[in-house]
Amino acid sequence: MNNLDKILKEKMSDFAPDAPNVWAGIEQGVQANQVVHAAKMGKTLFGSKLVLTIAKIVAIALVPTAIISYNYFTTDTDKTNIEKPIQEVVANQEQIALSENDFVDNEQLTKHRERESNKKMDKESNIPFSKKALKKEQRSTGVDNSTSIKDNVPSTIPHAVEKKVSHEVISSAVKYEKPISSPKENNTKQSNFFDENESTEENKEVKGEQNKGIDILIKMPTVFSPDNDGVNDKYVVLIEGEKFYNLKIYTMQEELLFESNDKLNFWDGINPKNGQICNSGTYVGVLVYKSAEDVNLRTKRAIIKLVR
Amino acid sequence: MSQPIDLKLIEKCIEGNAKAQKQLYDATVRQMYGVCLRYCKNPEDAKDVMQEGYIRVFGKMKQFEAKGVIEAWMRRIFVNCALENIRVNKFYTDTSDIDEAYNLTFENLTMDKISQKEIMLTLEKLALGYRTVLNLYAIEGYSHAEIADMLQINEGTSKSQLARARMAFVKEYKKITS
Repeated sequence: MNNLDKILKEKMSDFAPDAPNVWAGIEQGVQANQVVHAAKMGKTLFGSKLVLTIAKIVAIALVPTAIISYNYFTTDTDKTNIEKPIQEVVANQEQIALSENDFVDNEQLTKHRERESNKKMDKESNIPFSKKALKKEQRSTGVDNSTSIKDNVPSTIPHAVEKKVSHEVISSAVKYEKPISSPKENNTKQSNFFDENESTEENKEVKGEQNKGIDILIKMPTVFSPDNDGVNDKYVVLIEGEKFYNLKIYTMQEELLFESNDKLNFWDGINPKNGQICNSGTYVGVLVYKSAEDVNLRTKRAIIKLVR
Repeated sequence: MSQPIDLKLIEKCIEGNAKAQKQLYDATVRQMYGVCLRYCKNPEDAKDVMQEGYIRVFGKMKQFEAKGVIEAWMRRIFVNCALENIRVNKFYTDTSDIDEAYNLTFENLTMDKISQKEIMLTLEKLALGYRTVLNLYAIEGYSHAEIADMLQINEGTSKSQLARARMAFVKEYKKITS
Protein backbone atom coordinates (compact mmCIF):
# COMPACT_ATOMS: atom_id res chain seq x y z
CA MET A 1 0.00 0.00 0.00
CA ASN A 2 2.95 2.29 0.59
CA ASN A 3 3.61 1.73 -3.03
CA LEU A 4 0.70 3.96 -3.87
CA ASP A 5 2.15 6.76 -1.75
CA LYS A 6 5.44 6.46 -3.58
CA ILE A 7 3.79 6.50 -6.96
CA LEU A 8 1.70 9.51 -6.03
CA LYS A 9 4.67 11.40 -4.65
CA GLU A 10 6.85 10.69 -7.65
CA LYS A 11 4.20 11.56 -10.16
CA MET A 12 2.96 14.67 -8.45
CA SER A 13 6.31 16.17 -7.38
CA ASP A 14 6.60 18.14 -10.60
CA PHE A 15 2.93 18.82 -11.03
CA ALA A 16 2.81 22.34 -12.41
CA PRO A 17 -0.25 22.99 -14.53
CA ASP A 18 -0.92 26.16 -16.48
CA ALA A 19 -2.12 28.69 -13.96
CA PRO A 20 -4.66 31.42 -14.52
CA ASN A 21 -3.36 34.96 -14.20
CA VAL A 22 -4.34 36.36 -10.82
CA TRP A 23 -1.49 38.84 -10.52
CA ALA A 24 -3.81 41.87 -10.71
CA GLY A 25 -5.76 40.66 -7.69
CA ILE A 26 -2.61 39.84 -5.78
CA GLU A 27 -1.10 43.25 -6.50
CA GLN A 28 -4.27 44.96 -5.28
CA GLY A 29 -4.34 42.86 -2.15
CA VAL A 30 -0.69 43.51 -1.35
CA GLN A 31 -1.14 47.24 -1.90
CA ALA A 32 -4.24 47.35 0.24
CA ASN A 33 -2.32 45.49 2.90
CA GLN A 34 0.44 48.08 2.82
CA VAL A 35 -1.97 51.02 2.88
CA VAL A 36 -3.86 49.65 5.86
CA HIS A 37 -0.55 48.92 7.53
CA ALA A 38 0.75 52.43 6.97
CA ALA A 39 -2.51 54.03 8.10
CA LYS A 40 -2.54 52.03 11.29
CA MET A 41 1.08 52.79 12.06
CA GLY A 42 0.51 56.50 11.44
CA LYS A 43 -2.48 56.63 13.74
CA THR A 44 -0.79 54.91 16.61
CA LEU A 45 2.32 57.03 16.25
CA PHE A 46 0.28 60.19 16.29
CA GLY A 47 -1.69 59.01 19.29
CA SER A 48 1.35 58.00 21.28
CA LYS A 49 3.21 61.20 20.47
CA LEU A 50 0.23 63.30 21.48
CA VAL A 51 -0.08 61.57 24.83
CA LEU A 52 3.68 61.82 25.23
CA THR A 53 3.76 65.56 24.65
CA ILE A 54 0.85 66.11 27.01
CA ALA A 55 2.64 64.07 29.63
CA LYS A 56 5.78 66.12 29.08
CA ILE A 57 3.92 69.41 29.48
CA VAL A 58 2.27 68.28 32.66
CA ALA A 59 5.52 66.92 33.98
CA ILE A 60 7.61 69.96 33.21
CA ALA A 61 4.98 72.29 34.60
CA LEU A 62 4.19 70.42 37.77
CA VAL A 63 7.26 68.54 38.91
CA PRO A 64 9.36 71.62 39.79
CA THR A 65 6.50 73.11 41.77
CA ALA A 66 6.02 69.80 43.51
CA ILE A 67 9.69 69.65 44.43
CA ILE A 68 9.74 73.26 45.60
CA SER A 69 6.73 72.81 47.75
CA TYR A 70 8.13 69.54 49.03
CA ASN A 71 11.26 71.31 50.22
CA TYR A 72 9.49 74.37 51.58
CA PHE A 73 6.48 72.94 53.26
CA THR A 74 7.26 69.48 54.51
CA THR A 75 8.32 68.67 57.97
CA ASP A 76 10.48 65.64 58.66
CA THR A 77 7.53 63.38 59.36
CA ASP A 78 5.81 64.47 56.18
CA LYS A 79 8.86 63.79 54.09
CA THR A 80 8.71 60.08 54.64
CA ASN A 81 5.08 60.10 53.54
CA ILE A 82 5.56 62.01 50.34
CA GLU A 83 8.89 60.64 49.33
CA LYS A 84 7.37 57.69 47.50
CA PRO A 85 5.09 59.49 45.06
CA ILE A 86 7.76 61.97 44.21
CA GLN A 87 10.28 59.26 43.57
CA GLU A 88 7.85 57.67 41.19
CA VAL A 89 7.22 60.94 39.46
CA VAL A 90 10.89 61.54 38.98
CA ALA A 91 11.51 58.01 37.89
CA ASN A 92 8.81 58.18 35.26
CA GLN A 93 9.86 61.46 33.78
CA GLU A 94 13.25 62.19 32.37
CA GLN A 95 12.16 65.63 31.22
CA ILE A 96 12.67 67.42 34.49
CA ALA A 97 14.23 70.83 34.48
CA LEU A 98 17.85 70.28 35.41
CA SER A 99 18.02 73.45 37.47
CA GLU A 100 15.76 71.83 40.03
CA ASN A 101 18.16 68.99 40.68
CA ASP A 102 19.80 70.74 43.63
CA PHE A 103 16.64 70.61 45.62
CA VAL A 104 16.67 66.84 45.83
CA ASP A 105 19.78 65.67 47.57
CA ASN A 106 19.04 62.04 47.44
CA GLU A 107 21.61 59.74 45.93
CA GLN A 108 19.26 56.86 45.40
CA LEU A 109 16.83 59.11 43.68
CA THR A 110 19.31 60.40 41.13
CA LYS A 111 20.71 56.95 40.44
CA HIS A 112 17.26 55.58 39.92
CA ARG A 113 16.43 58.44 37.64
CA GLU A 114 19.52 57.88 35.54
CA ARG A 115 18.69 54.24 35.07
CA GLU A 116 15.13 55.03 34.14
CA SER A 117 16.08 57.75 31.71
CA ASN A 118 18.53 55.43 29.99
CA LYS A 119 15.77 52.90 29.54
CA LYS A 120 13.43 55.56 28.24
CA MET A 121 15.96 56.84 25.77
CA ASP A 122 16.39 53.34 24.40
CA LYS A 123 12.68 52.93 24.06
CA GLU A 124 12.16 56.29 22.47
CA SER A 125 14.91 55.81 19.96
CA ASN A 126 12.96 52.86 18.59
CA ILE A 127 9.98 54.98 17.73
CA PRO A 128 10.08 56.48 14.27
CA PHE A 129 9.34 60.18 14.23
CA SER A 130 6.32 61.83 12.68
CA LYS A 131 6.40 65.40 11.50
CA LYS A 132 3.03 66.36 12.90
CA ALA A 133 3.96 65.23 16.33
CA LEU A 134 7.25 67.12 16.10
CA LYS A 135 5.48 70.36 15.23
CA LYS A 136 3.00 69.88 18.02
CA GLU A 137 5.77 69.26 20.44
CA GLN A 138 7.56 72.42 19.43
CA ARG A 139 4.43 74.45 19.80
CA SER A 140 3.55 72.91 23.08
CA THR A 141 7.01 73.40 24.55
CA GLY A 142 6.74 77.07 23.62
CA VAL A 143 3.51 77.28 25.55
CA ASP A 144 4.64 75.23 28.45
CA ASN A 145 7.60 77.46 29.29
CA SER A 146 5.17 80.21 30.10
CA THR A 147 2.88 77.92 32.02
CA SER A 148 5.73 76.55 34.05
CA ILE A 149 6.74 80.06 35.01
CA LYS A 150 3.20 80.82 35.99
CA ASP A 151 3.04 77.71 38.04
CA ASN A 152 6.32 78.41 39.69
CA VAL A 153 5.29 81.87 40.90
CA PRO A 154 2.64 80.96 43.42
CA SER A 155 4.86 78.83 45.57
CA THR A 156 2.44 79.25 48.42
CA ILE A 157 0.24 76.37 47.32
CA PRO A 158 -0.47 74.12 50.28
CA HIS A 159 1.14 70.77 49.89
CA ALA A 160 -2.09 68.88 50.21
CA VAL A 161 -2.98 70.17 46.78
CA GLU A 162 0.48 69.34 45.57
CA LYS A 163 0.01 65.76 46.66
CA LYS A 164 -2.98 65.49 44.40
CA VAL A 165 -1.06 67.09 41.61
CA SER A 166 1.79 64.67 41.94
CA HIS A 167 -0.66 61.80 41.71
CA GLU A 168 -2.00 63.31 38.54
CA VAL A 169 1.49 63.35 37.16
CA ILE A 170 1.87 59.70 37.98
CA SER A 171 -1.35 58.77 36.26
CA SER A 172 -0.45 60.79 33.20
CA ALA A 173 2.99 59.28 33.18
CA VAL A 174 1.47 55.84 33.22
CA LYS A 175 -0.73 56.86 30.33
CA TYR A 176 2.22 57.94 28.33
CA GLU A 177 4.18 54.80 29.00
CA LYS A 178 1.57 52.53 27.50
CA PRO A 179 1.57 53.72 23.88
CA ILE A 180 5.28 53.11 23.55
CA SER A 181 4.71 49.41 23.28
CA SER A 182 1.69 49.79 21.04
CA PRO A 183 3.45 50.07 17.67
CA LYS A 184 5.03 46.68 18.20
CA GLU A 185 1.71 45.12 19.13
CA ASN A 186 0.17 46.65 16.08
CA ASN A 187 2.90 45.17 13.95
CA THR A 188 2.05 41.69 14.99
CA LYS A 189 -1.64 42.29 14.68
CA GLN A 190 -1.14 43.83 11.29
CA SER A 191 0.56 40.82 9.85
CA ASN A 192 -2.54 38.80 10.65
CA PHE A 193 -4.91 41.36 9.24
CA PHE A 194 -5.81 39.43 6.14
CA ASP A 195 -5.98 36.14 7.95
CA GLU A 196 -8.92 37.12 10.05
CA ASN A 197 -11.57 35.66 7.83
CA GLU A 198 -14.67 33.78 8.76
CA SER A 199 -12.91 30.59 9.67
CA THR A 200 -11.12 32.08 12.65
CA GLU A 201 -14.33 33.62 13.87
CA GLU A 202 -16.08 30.32 13.63
CA ASN A 203 -13.28 28.54 15.43
CA LYS A 204 -13.64 30.93 18.33
CA GLU A 205 -17.27 30.05 18.69
CA VAL A 206 -16.59 26.42 19.34
CA LYS A 207 -17.22 26.18 23.04
CA GLY A 208 -14.98 24.05 25.19
CA GLU A 209 -11.95 22.03 24.26
CA GLN A 210 -13.60 18.68 24.14
CA ASN A 211 -14.94 19.03 20.62
CA LYS A 212 -12.53 17.40 18.27
CA GLY A 213 -12.65 16.45 14.68
CA ILE A 214 -13.54 18.22 11.51
CA ASP A 215 -16.82 20.03 11.59
CA ILE A 216 -19.80 18.42 9.97
CA LEU A 217 -21.26 19.75 6.76
CA ILE A 218 -23.12 22.97 7.25
CA LYS A 219 -24.01 25.56 4.72
CA MET A 220 -25.88 28.59 5.97
CA PRO A 221 -26.85 30.72 3.01
CA THR A 222 -26.53 34.46 3.43
CA VAL A 223 -29.33 35.49 1.12
CA PHE A 224 -32.77 34.28 0.10
CA SER A 225 -35.76 35.67 -1.76
CA PRO A 226 -39.24 34.60 -0.62
CA ASP A 227 -41.07 36.06 -3.58
CA ASN A 228 -42.70 32.80 -4.75
CA ASP A 229 -40.73 32.57 -7.95
CA GLY A 230 -39.62 29.06 -7.17
CA VAL A 231 -36.03 29.99 -6.53
CA ASN A 232 -34.68 30.36 -3.00
CA ASP A 233 -38.16 30.94 -1.59
CA LYS A 234 -37.25 29.43 1.73
CA TYR A 235 -34.26 29.75 3.98
CA VAL A 236 -32.67 26.32 3.90
CA VAL A 237 -29.79 25.37 6.14
CA LEU A 238 -27.83 22.50 4.65
CA ILE A 239 -26.69 20.26 7.46
CA GLU A 240 -25.67 16.65 7.52
CA GLY A 241 -25.11 14.17 10.31
CA GLU A 242 -26.27 16.36 13.18
CA LYS A 243 -27.53 15.11 16.52
CA PHE A 244 -29.01 18.37 17.65
CA TYR A 245 -30.35 21.23 15.61
CA ASN A 246 -31.80 24.54 16.68
CA LEU A 247 -32.17 27.49 14.34
CA LYS A 248 -33.21 30.92 15.51
CA ILE A 249 -33.69 33.93 13.34
CA TYR A 250 -33.59 37.39 14.79
CA THR A 251 -34.23 40.83 13.40
CA MET A 252 -31.53 43.42 13.66
CA GLN A 253 -33.43 44.75 16.70
CA GLU A 254 -32.72 41.41 18.40
CA GLU A 255 -36.35 40.29 18.30
CA LEU A 256 -36.79 36.56 17.89
CA LEU A 257 -38.68 35.94 14.67
CA PHE A 258 -38.43 32.25 14.03
CA GLU A 259 -37.27 29.18 15.85
CA SER A 260 -37.09 25.59 14.78
CA ASN A 261 -35.69 22.31 16.03
CA ASP A 262 -36.42 20.54 12.77
CA LYS A 263 -34.03 21.04 9.93
CA LEU A 264 -36.84 20.44 7.43
CA ASN A 265 -38.90 23.28 8.87
CA PHE A 266 -37.72 26.12 6.69
CA TRP A 267 -38.30 29.80 7.23
CA ASP A 268 -40.35 31.34 4.46
CA GLY A 269 -39.91 35.00 5.28
CA ILE A 270 -43.12 35.28 7.30
CA ASN A 271 -43.28 36.20 10.95
CA PRO A 272 -45.00 33.15 12.47
CA LYS A 273 -46.25 35.15 15.45
CA ASN A 274 -48.46 37.60 13.59
CA GLY A 275 -48.39 36.17 10.06
CA GLN A 276 -46.95 39.36 8.63
CA ILE A 277 -44.60 39.26 5.69
CA CYS A 278 -41.12 40.34 6.68
CA ASN A 279 -39.66 43.24 4.79
CA SER A 280 -36.50 42.91 2.82
CA GLY A 281 -33.51 43.68 4.92
CA THR A 282 -30.97 42.05 7.10
CA TYR A 283 -31.65 39.31 9.62
CA VAL A 284 -29.43 37.22 11.81
CA GLY A 285 -29.54 33.45 11.91
CA VAL A 286 -28.09 31.58 14.86
CA LEU A 287 -27.65 27.85 14.52
CA VAL A 288 -26.86 25.71 17.52
CA TYR A 289 -25.93 22.19 16.59
CA LYS A 290 -24.07 19.12 17.64
CA SER A 291 -22.60 16.29 15.64
CA ALA A 292 -22.49 12.69 16.74
CA GLU A 293 -18.86 13.06 17.85
CA ASP A 294 -19.25 16.37 19.64
CA VAL A 295 -19.46 16.62 23.38
CA ASN A 296 -20.54 20.24 23.53
CA LEU A 297 -22.84 22.28 21.38
CA ARG A 298 -21.44 24.34 18.59
CA THR A 299 -22.79 27.65 17.37
CA LYS A 300 -22.74 29.17 13.95
CA ARG A 301 -24.06 32.53 12.86
CA ALA A 302 -24.99 33.98 9.55
CA ILE A 303 -26.12 37.38 8.41
CA ILE A 304 -29.12 36.74 6.19
CA LYS A 305 -30.22 39.18 3.57
CA LEU A 306 -33.87 38.96 2.66
CA VAL A 307 -34.55 40.19 -0.85
CA ARG A 308 -37.99 40.49 -2.37
CA MET B 1 12.05 23.19 -13.08
CA SER B 2 12.85 26.88 -13.41
CA GLN B 3 16.05 28.36 -12.07
CA PRO B 4 16.36 28.59 -8.28
CA ILE B 5 15.27 31.79 -6.61
CA ASP B 6 18.16 33.76 -5.19
CA LEU B 7 18.19 35.59 -1.89
CA LYS B 8 18.46 39.05 -3.46
CA LEU B 9 15.07 38.64 -5.06
CA ILE B 10 13.60 37.59 -1.73
CA GLU B 11 15.14 40.60 -0.01
CA LYS B 12 13.62 42.89 -2.62
CA CYS B 13 10.26 41.21 -2.11
CA ILE B 14 10.50 41.85 1.61
CA GLU B 15 11.17 45.54 0.91
CA GLY B 16 7.97 45.60 -1.09
CA ASN B 17 9.40 45.91 -4.55
CA ALA B 18 6.50 45.17 -6.90
CA LYS B 19 8.75 44.07 -9.75
CA ALA B 20 10.53 41.55 -7.58
CA GLN B 21 7.22 40.27 -6.31
CA LYS B 22 5.99 39.81 -9.85
CA GLN B 23 9.20 37.95 -10.66
CA LEU B 24 8.72 35.61 -7.73
CA TYR B 25 5.11 35.13 -8.71
CA ASP B 26 6.05 34.23 -12.27
CA ALA B 27 8.68 31.78 -11.10
CA THR B 28 6.44 29.89 -8.71
CA VAL B 29 2.89 30.31 -9.95
CA ARG B 30 2.58 27.03 -11.83
CA GLN B 31 3.91 24.98 -8.98
CA MET B 32 1.69 26.70 -6.42
CA TYR B 33 -1.35 26.39 -8.64
CA GLY B 34 -0.68 22.69 -8.69
CA VAL B 35 -0.77 22.64 -4.91
CA CYS B 36 -4.01 24.62 -4.81
CA LEU B 37 -5.63 22.48 -7.46
CA ARG B 38 -4.86 19.30 -5.59
CA TYR B 39 -6.66 20.48 -2.47
CA CYS B 40 -9.53 22.47 -3.89
CA LYS B 41 -12.71 21.10 -5.34
CA ASN B 42 -12.68 23.19 -8.49
CA PRO B 43 -10.39 25.55 -10.42
CA GLU B 44 -12.28 28.63 -9.23
CA ASP B 45 -11.55 27.79 -5.62
CA ALA B 46 -7.95 27.06 -6.48
CA LYS B 47 -7.69 30.49 -8.06
CA ASP B 48 -9.08 32.16 -4.95
CA VAL B 49 -6.79 30.19 -2.69
CA MET B 50 -3.80 31.04 -4.84
CA GLN B 51 -4.57 34.75 -4.75
CA GLU B 52 -4.99 34.74 -1.01
CA GLY B 53 -1.89 32.62 -0.63
CA TYR B 54 0.28 35.04 -2.56
CA ILE B 55 -1.04 38.02 -0.64
CA ARG B 56 -0.23 36.19 2.56
CA VAL B 57 3.21 35.20 1.30
CA PHE B 58 4.13 38.78 0.46
CA GLY B 59 2.66 40.03 3.72
CA LYS B 60 4.55 37.53 5.84
CA MET B 61 7.77 37.45 3.87
CA LYS B 62 9.62 39.06 6.77
CA GLN B 63 9.07 35.90 8.77
CA PHE B 64 10.86 33.79 6.19
CA GLU B 65 14.30 33.01 7.52
CA ALA B 66 16.70 32.13 4.78
CA LYS B 67 17.25 28.69 6.26
CA GLY B 68 15.15 26.63 3.95
CA VAL B 69 13.99 26.80 0.40
CA ILE B 70 11.47 29.52 -0.33
CA GLU B 71 9.33 27.15 -2.38
CA ALA B 72 8.90 24.80 0.56
CA TRP B 73 7.98 27.70 2.82
CA MET B 74 5.48 29.02 0.30
CA ARG B 75 4.05 25.57 -0.23
CA ARG B 76 3.29 25.31 3.46
CA ILE B 77 1.46 28.62 3.42
CA PHE B 78 -0.54 27.55 0.39
CA VAL B 79 -1.44 24.25 1.99
CA ASN B 80 -2.69 26.11 5.07
CA CYS B 81 -4.67 28.49 2.88
CA ALA B 82 -6.26 25.61 1.05
CA LEU B 83 -7.13 23.85 4.30
CA GLU B 84 -8.75 27.01 5.61
CA ASN B 85 -10.72 27.32 2.42
CA ILE B 86 -11.94 23.77 2.81
CA ARG B 87 -12.91 24.43 6.40
CA VAL B 88 -14.83 27.59 5.48
CA ASN B 89 -16.68 26.19 2.54
CA LYS B 90 -17.20 22.71 3.89
CA PHE B 91 -17.87 20.91 0.70
CA TYR B 92 -18.43 17.66 2.47
CA THR B 93 -20.92 16.28 0.05
CA ASP B 94 -19.89 12.68 0.27
CA THR B 95 -18.81 11.44 3.65
CA SER B 96 -20.29 8.00 3.33
CA ASP B 97 -17.79 5.36 4.35
CA ILE B 98 -16.85 2.76 1.88
CA ASP B 99 -16.92 -0.83 2.94
CA GLU B 100 -13.94 -1.46 5.10
CA ALA B 101 -13.88 -5.06 3.97
CA TYR B 102 -13.40 -3.87 0.43
CA ASN B 103 -11.27 -6.48 -1.14
CA LEU B 104 -8.13 -4.96 -2.42
CA THR B 105 -6.72 -6.64 -5.44
CA PHE B 106 -4.92 -4.29 -7.72
CA GLU B 107 -1.92 -4.79 -9.90
CA ASN B 108 0.97 -2.51 -9.23
CA LEU B 109 1.81 -2.50 -12.89
CA THR B 110 -1.33 -0.67 -13.83
CA MET B 111 -0.73 1.91 -11.10
CA ASP B 112 2.78 2.58 -12.29
CA LYS B 113 1.54 3.95 -15.55
CA ILE B 114 -0.89 6.38 -13.97
CA SER B 115 -0.56 9.88 -15.40
CA GLN B 116 -0.83 13.19 -13.59
CA LYS B 117 -4.12 13.84 -15.26
CA GLU B 118 -5.50 10.54 -14.11
CA ILE B 119 -4.31 11.21 -10.59
CA MET B 120 -6.07 14.55 -10.59
CA LEU B 121 -9.26 13.03 -12.00
CA THR B 122 -9.20 10.34 -9.33
CA LEU B 123 -8.51 12.83 -6.57
CA GLU B 124 -11.46 14.91 -7.70
CA LYS B 125 -13.74 11.91 -7.32
CA LEU B 126 -12.62 11.23 -3.74
CA ALA B 127 -14.40 12.56 -0.70
CA LEU B 128 -12.74 15.67 0.60
CA GLY B 129 -11.49 14.13 3.81
CA TYR B 130 -9.75 11.29 1.98
CA ARG B 131 -8.38 13.63 -0.58
CA THR B 132 -6.94 15.98 1.99
CA VAL B 133 -5.28 13.23 3.98
CA LEU B 134 -3.87 11.61 0.87
CA ASN B 135 -2.54 14.95 -0.32
CA LEU B 136 -0.97 15.77 3.00
CA TYR B 137 0.56 12.39 3.73
CA ALA B 138 1.49 10.88 0.40
CA ILE B 139 2.29 13.89 -1.74
CA GLU B 140 3.29 16.57 0.73
CA GLY B 141 5.00 14.13 3.07
CA TYR B 142 3.62 15.34 6.40
CA SER B 143 3.63 12.92 9.31
CA HIS B 144 0.45 11.69 10.94
CA ALA B 145 1.13 13.83 13.98
CA GLU B 146 1.42 16.95 11.84
CA ILE B 147 -1.72 16.09 9.93
CA ALA B 148 -3.60 15.51 13.16
CA ASP B 149 -2.50 18.93 14.32
CA MET B 150 -3.40 20.65 11.06
CA LEU B 151 -6.84 19.12 10.74
CA GLN B 152 -7.53 19.03 14.47
CA ILE B 153 -8.22 15.33 14.49
CA ASN B 154 -6.70 12.41 16.35
CA GLU B 155 -3.57 10.79 15.06
CA GLY B 156 -5.42 7.48 14.89
CA THR B 157 -8.16 9.08 12.81
CA SER B 158 -5.55 10.35 10.43
CA LYS B 159 -4.09 6.86 10.03
CA SER B 160 -7.42 5.16 9.47
CA GLN B 161 -8.50 7.90 7.10
CA LEU B 162 -5.33 7.42 5.10
CA ALA B 163 -5.86 3.67 4.87
CA ARG B 164 -9.40 4.18 3.66
CA ALA B 165 -8.31 6.94 1.34
CA ARG B 166 -5.82 4.63 -0.37
CA MET B 167 -8.51 2.04 -0.91
CA ALA B 168 -10.91 4.63 -2.20
CA PHE B 169 -8.26 5.95 -4.54
CA VAL B 170 -7.66 2.55 -6.06
CA LYS B 171 -11.36 1.96 -6.39
CA GLU B 172 -11.91 5.28 -8.14
CA TYR B 173 -8.93 4.74 -10.36
CA LYS B 174 -10.34 1.39 -11.48
CA LYS B 175 -13.62 3.05 -12.29
CA ILE B 176 -11.87 5.65 -14.41
CA THR B 177 -9.69 3.26 -16.35
CA SER B 178 -12.33 0.64 -16.99
